[in-house]
Amino acid sequence: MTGDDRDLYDAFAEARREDAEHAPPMSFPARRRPEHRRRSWSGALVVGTACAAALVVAAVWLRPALRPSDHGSTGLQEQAVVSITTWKPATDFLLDTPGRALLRGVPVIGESHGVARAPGHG
Amino acid sequence: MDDTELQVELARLHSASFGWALWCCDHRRDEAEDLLQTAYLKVLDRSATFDGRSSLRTWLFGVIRRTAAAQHRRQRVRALLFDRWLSTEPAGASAADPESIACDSERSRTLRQAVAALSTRQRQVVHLVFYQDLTVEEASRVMNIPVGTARTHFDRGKRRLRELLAGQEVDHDRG
Repeated sequence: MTGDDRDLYDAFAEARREDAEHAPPMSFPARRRPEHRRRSWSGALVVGTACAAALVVAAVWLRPALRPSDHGSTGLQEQAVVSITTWKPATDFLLDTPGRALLRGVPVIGESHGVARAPGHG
Repeated sequence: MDDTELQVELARLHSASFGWALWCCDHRRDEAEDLLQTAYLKVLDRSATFDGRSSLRTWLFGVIRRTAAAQHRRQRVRALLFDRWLSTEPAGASAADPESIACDSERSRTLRQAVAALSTRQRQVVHLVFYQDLTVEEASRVMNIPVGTARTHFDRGKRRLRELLAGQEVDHDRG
């Protein structure tokens, strides 16, 4: 506050006095706490009911997919297992090298596996 | 602070609070009374809790300011949504209450008109400092803005207020 502002302080003080003269008497509002509580309870009830309804709808919708099959596993699990066992990578043929059968089986004497013999060896 | 102490403090600050509420509502008396009741309810219901970081008056004025801002927002939304079709509000409802204007002295009326021409923040800080005798720091806390910003608004508002008051005095002299 500076001395220069004295005129403004005086003008506002006059307005303040006039406002104070016409101020309404002090009265505290009626508490709304019980109403708040009721409202929060009813709100919780609505939210709870909505959640329960959503769960029921979800259960009904997912039930056919989750129903166990005759083999004891669920339809979804069976589908997943089948797809994993039958799936082959696109580069699988690269592993099919010549002479792969030799590595898989037990060699038999006298049996040819199609390996070319070098000329001059019989 | 228990309920009884709080009520005693609110009663002590009631006149100043009403003054602040009036200025937050552009001197619409009915609206100011509603605003004050809503603010008291928030305080007594502990929706707004005093943490002791500032004086009780500064904190209470902050509660009143925020409540007024929320009320104005609701009114604006309502006006946007409904007033296009339902013009229920009488014309000139946004103007100051004629009853309160009639009670004002000539000087106060001139002052209110000049203050009304300021921006919202200038109006608030000028009111809080000159009318409520708060410091600029306390006013910044009520307004929830940095002290430097409050000081800038205060200086500009004060300068503009002087210009407006000087202009009105010239008009009166001519009239």
